[in-house]
Amino acid sequence: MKKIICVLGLLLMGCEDPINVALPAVENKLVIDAMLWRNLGQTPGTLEVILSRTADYYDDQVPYVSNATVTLQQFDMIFTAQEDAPGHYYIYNVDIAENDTFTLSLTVDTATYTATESLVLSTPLDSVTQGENTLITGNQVEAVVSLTDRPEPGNYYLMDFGYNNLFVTRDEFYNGNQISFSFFYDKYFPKNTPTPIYLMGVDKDFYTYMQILISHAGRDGGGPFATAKSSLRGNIQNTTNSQDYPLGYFRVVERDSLIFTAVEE
Amino acid sequence: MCMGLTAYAQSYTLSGTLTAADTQETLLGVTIYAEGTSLGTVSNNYGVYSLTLPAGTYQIIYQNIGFETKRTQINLDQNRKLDLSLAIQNEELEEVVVTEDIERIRMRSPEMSINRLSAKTIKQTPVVFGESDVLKTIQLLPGVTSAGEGASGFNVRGGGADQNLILLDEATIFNSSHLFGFFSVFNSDAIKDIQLYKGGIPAAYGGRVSSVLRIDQKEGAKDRLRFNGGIGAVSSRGLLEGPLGKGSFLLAGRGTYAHLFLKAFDQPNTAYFYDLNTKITLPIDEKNRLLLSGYFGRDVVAFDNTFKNTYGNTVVNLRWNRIFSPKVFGNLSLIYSDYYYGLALDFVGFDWDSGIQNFNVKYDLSYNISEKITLETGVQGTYYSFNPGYIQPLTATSGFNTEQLQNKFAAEASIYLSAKHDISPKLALHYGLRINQFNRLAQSGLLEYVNAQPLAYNPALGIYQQGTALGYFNKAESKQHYTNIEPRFTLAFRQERSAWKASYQRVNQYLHLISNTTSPTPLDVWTPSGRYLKPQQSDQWALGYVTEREKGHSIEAEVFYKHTANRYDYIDGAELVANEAIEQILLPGTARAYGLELLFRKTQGKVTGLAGYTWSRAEQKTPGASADEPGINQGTWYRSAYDKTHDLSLSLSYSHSKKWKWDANAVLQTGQPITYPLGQYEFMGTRVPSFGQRNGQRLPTYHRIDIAATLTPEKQQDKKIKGSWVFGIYNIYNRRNAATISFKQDPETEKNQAYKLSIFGIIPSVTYNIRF
Repeated sequence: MKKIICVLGLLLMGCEDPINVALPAVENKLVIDAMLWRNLGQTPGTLEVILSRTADYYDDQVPYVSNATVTLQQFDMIFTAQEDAPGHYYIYNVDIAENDTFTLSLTVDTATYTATESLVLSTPLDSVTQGENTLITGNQVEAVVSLTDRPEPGNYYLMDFGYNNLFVTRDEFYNGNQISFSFFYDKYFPKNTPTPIYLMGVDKDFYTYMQILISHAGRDGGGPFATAKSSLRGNIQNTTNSQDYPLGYFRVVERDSLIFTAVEE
Repeated sequence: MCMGLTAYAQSYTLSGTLTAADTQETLLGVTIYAEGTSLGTVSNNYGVYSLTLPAGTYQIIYQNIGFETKRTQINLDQNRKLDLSLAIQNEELEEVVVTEDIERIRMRSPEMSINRLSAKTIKQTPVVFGESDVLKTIQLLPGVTSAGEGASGFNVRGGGADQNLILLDEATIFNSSHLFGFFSVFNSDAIKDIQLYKGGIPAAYGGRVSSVLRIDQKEGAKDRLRFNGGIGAVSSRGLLEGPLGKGSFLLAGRGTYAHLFLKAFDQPNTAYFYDLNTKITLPIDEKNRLLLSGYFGRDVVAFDNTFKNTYGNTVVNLRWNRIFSPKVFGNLSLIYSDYYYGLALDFVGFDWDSGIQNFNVKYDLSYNISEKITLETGVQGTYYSFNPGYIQPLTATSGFNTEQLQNKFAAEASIYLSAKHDISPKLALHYGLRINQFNRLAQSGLLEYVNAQPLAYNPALGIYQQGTALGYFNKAESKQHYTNIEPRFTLAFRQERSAWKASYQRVNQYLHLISNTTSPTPLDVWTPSGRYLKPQQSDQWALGYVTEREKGHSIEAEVFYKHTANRYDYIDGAELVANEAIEQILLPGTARAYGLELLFRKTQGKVTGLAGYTWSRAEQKTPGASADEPGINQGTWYRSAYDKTHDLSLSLSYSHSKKWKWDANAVLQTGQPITYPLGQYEFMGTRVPSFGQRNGQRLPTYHRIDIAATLTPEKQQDKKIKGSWVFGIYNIYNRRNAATISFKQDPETEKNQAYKLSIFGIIPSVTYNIRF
């Protein structure tokens, strides 16, 4: 349904002008972007945790947080992540089975943060092809994506189309069926460049979180049809000081991918 | 001693129907009074009046703005019937008309917080695209604003657009806008009169807590076949009216051209609307009259072959007026009204239909008991059917299943009794009670939750989550009913040329509008109160002062305070459309609004117009269910999306000559509240603004000036077919007012940037109007 709003939002996009707006003072918060993932049907997976802080809205970069302790607990096993690049922490070859619970723990300075999640299954991406439709302004690239929903009801999916194009969908109206839909890239989408497209199974809470995040990022069409904005909290607790909550989310997902290459029309 | 005489003297009633001299159209709101007394009345919505006076000989004066005053001597030694026609005022004479005591009678009426506008006023107000527009005109009045440029609906005294009861010939209209608010659904050619109650709502109306906008359609000319129409750059319209047997008919149509917003793009896209108004009036005999009204409107927005959206209102109303006696007037209304919203998404492959239907029967009776008291009473029954959504695949290969979201049903019964009571020549009261019973009818598929909490707070994470469902209620348990008593009270205390007024009202609203935006786009879903949603209940107090000066100058001042319980707000990121369990995303809160309104009017002379100023505040507080929950905005007061501290509007009309007329508007308002980011963060490679307090900042101040000139060529003036040109310029100094400011990455450079969305720059328009 977000897509409808997107289209209506586009209707008025022609009259947008960039402006300078003075903003209130920055709220300094820790941001935890943590994903434990495995490829469709395979057990070994990877934990990737990106630690950063909030920054002034107009800054080009966000500051990354180094020297944190990042651990992952599975049953009574505890793995410790390595910082491979500033603020980027990894654990490789984690055996991710259905119904296993994983607890992420982080220590940054003196504060400890934790979250517990378990695997959400995905479904194969059947195909991705280039379509010929465009939206109002006519410069978009249409990617027609096809997937077959998992047979049980209540599935939620997150798609990453690359270049900050994220999209969420749920099977409420297509449970168990094969479904095709279109995603429209903007005119800056590079042609003749292979782009991986990911489909991830997610739970309802993360679906809701991403839906709000996409809206906050102004990537759902925005404009006069946007929802009311306010702070967005994820699933990670600060166990040292609950008032100083972190931003971000820890999720355990299965994902499938296909390569999409757009050609010049 | 005088009192004693009046009490024992025999009283008689003067009654009749008032019409316009040329078209024989009935006239509502005409002031009728006996010269030299404080006794008077106003003709009702059907042009019928009833005035009771002690036996005697009187000069009766009939007065209505835009018409010549009529004076008749009546020897009231028995009940008398007098049907009269008033002649339209010759515009040349406008400045020498005497108003005498008319305003004194008006002032003495206890009605307050009401604005009446004639079709003429609406037509004189210049608006965007050169189309005269009811909603844009009422927004020039103090206490009335809109959420933003291009936003549909209107906001009265800090209330939501869904809190306005909009009645077109007594039938409820659920969506008042065409094309996302660029036009209203009311064709001003077909309108006779509008009345807006911002407060002091009479007991005859109920169901919306903020205001009543009553719009009466013309009945159609009885003298001869008449036509008027206009051709503009964006839209065209036409109206045909004339006699039909003993009665009359009216048929009006309007439409925009399909290219409206999309001509700039080289694509096969369309966006247009059309609507039809009709009315048939059929007198049966001297005492009985039937009126059949209809409205049908549709908007169509389609992009290429990927998307098609159709929506609109349908209204049919059959009324039966009956004059039982010179003192008793009754009206029966049978009303059907629906709002349809359909969407076909080709690129996703499904079709979605939703809507609300409403059947309404009501009977209203007025009884002019004596020279001091008129009673009004009535009953009303309404049956509602809500369709939150029906989804079906567009093509055989589409992966969508056919699915009907759970339909909801409700029935509402109301009864009211009120009295207009003249206590003394100085003091008049209007008081009454309205009793409502709202029944949410049985349905299947209503969820039952642990602890009866559809929304559960997770204290560890500081977020609201869906409550744990126990299963479904059985059908009998899904019912719920509410009964409420609503007192209404207004008083007027008159002095020589001024009056003090005060009012109190309680109103309940049983329908909630679920909309993910700050203004009602067509993506509106109406939902009834029931087990989870409690009715909105509002109390409003207002105090006013009105004074009349010579030459039709008047100044009105009012202060008000309004408190509304059970005003629901959405938790952050709620998914509203096609949601089967709306109770999982709503938190109850309290809304309050208060303010000061000033209105200066000049109704006579070469220059007429009004200046309005409002200082007001509209806020909401949405705490959680318990003390440790944050609710929305940490449970503190936050501004409503349509809160505007200062609102100044000016509307002027200048009759330069028979040939030229000039009209102008000026508007200056505090920018609407908006939530700015406190910073940014990175998630999944995307730069995300981090938002702070809800509605903590404001858009830049909004202002603009519009002008219009009407040219009636002299050689046209005496012809049978009269033509005129209207040249208009909206936003004459091309102010790029911000409709919203959004924060996102520049698609090319990927740098974070703020964007201002402005909808209307300078817009010139030309319309040619024709009349015969």
